[in-house]
Amino acid sequence: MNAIEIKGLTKQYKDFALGPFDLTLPMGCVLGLVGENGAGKSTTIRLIMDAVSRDGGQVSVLGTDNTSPDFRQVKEEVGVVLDETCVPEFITAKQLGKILAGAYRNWDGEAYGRWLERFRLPPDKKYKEYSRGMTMKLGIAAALSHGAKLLLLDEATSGLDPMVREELLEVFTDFAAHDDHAVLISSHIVSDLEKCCDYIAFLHKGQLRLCEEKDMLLERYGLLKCSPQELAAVDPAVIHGKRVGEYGAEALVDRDEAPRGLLVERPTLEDIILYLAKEEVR
Amino acid sequence: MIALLKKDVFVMDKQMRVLVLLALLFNLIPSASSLGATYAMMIALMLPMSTISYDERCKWDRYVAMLPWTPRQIVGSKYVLSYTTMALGAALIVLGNFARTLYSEGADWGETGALIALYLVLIGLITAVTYPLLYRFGSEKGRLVLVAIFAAMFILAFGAVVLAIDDMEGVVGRLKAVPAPALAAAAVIVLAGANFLSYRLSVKIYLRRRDGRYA
Repeated sequence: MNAIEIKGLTKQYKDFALGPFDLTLPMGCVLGLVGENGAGKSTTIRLIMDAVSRDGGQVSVLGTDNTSPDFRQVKEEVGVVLDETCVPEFITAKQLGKILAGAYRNWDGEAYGRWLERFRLPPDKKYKEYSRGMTMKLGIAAALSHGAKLLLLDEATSGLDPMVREELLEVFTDFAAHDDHAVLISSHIVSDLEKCCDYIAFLHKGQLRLCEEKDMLLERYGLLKCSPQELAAVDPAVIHGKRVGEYGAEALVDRDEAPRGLLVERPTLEDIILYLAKEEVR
Repeated sequence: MIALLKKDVFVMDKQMRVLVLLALLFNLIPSASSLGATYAMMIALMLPMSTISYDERCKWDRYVAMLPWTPRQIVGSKYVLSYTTMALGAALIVLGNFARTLYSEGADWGETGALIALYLVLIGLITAVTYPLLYRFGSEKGRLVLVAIFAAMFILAFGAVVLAIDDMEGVVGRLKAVPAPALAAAAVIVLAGANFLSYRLSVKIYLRRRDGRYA
């Protein structure tokens, strides 16, 4: 069973159109949804949870269509962390636990307490007194305390210092290590996704530009470094994006099709995304 | 839904304690019992509505839409909260009235009952009008629209009184002639109908707003 299956999903706003696109997240995997601000990442997550009505297509979560009456039951098995935790500022972590205990039938108060302890979150401190890192940790503690099988993380690591990001990425990787778990994490910090994801989906201006296994992606592309004259001689069909300066040129190319004798380096995921995001794609 | 109410109580907790204490004190003053009653019922009206402002400010709606609650439960909890605070306001009036009998003049329970009934009808109707506006325009704009509506209603009512001034005794007489149980039954029917329609409308507006159709 796939954790998420999206087919032909579309959503139209007055000034923004998302999709149509297909996307699949298999169980036991972490999928990174990358894209610039306003690319449609948060909208996609809201559409997956039916928190916004879609205009077209199908979305299935843990094997259930998200518009069916049974989806409410499925929501019990999905942990969501938003870019802002969206908790009223006067509420404490302890009170949030009491509220969520009424939302989730499988709420595990002891597990929540353990997560608060692990993240060093004072249970009686008001939310407004928490730092940005603490608020995100609180959201994650809540998402992990009701036996979720799927985690949806919307910019859960943005605005955090590297130490906290590292700690949280470890938590997500551990979670996804179970065969019946899966994680979808949206971020514009591509280096974070490179560390923890199995699949990468790239949203650009509401369109899904790619969705591939991360390792395949890193194998498929190469970063060609040469002179502008040498680049001009390369078959344009091989080039996926380029940057030409006065003294040198750099281009994202199909590694297997790259011309022999020129320097082709292994790109980072960020290189691939940045080149593809440019409008110089073939 | 109880958890949603719990959340609103946590949010209102501190301010509610102070306001309830003040309402109780006002209701203990012998010569200001109607002022105390008005204050208690105003709190009953305003407190639940202030929770919508808090929700907007922290974007609670974005989060709650991801949780296993239906839009009906989310919107319905606000109505239930309003009815609960109305009951609390009424209880405060009764408590104040009872306390005054211990150290002051004997209470007029008939008058108190009539006052509470009148306030419950009024606040119930205001609640029915207010929530769809708050969901449609947000708490800030919604309140402005509400003030405009009430100003218009006041002018209309004032106009009606001015027009009927010659026959005021007749109007009052005809109202008094209606049996109290019939008046109460009519009030309950109007109140229930208005709140039911208001709730249905609020759910529709909530869904449209969530889908970004008012952006």
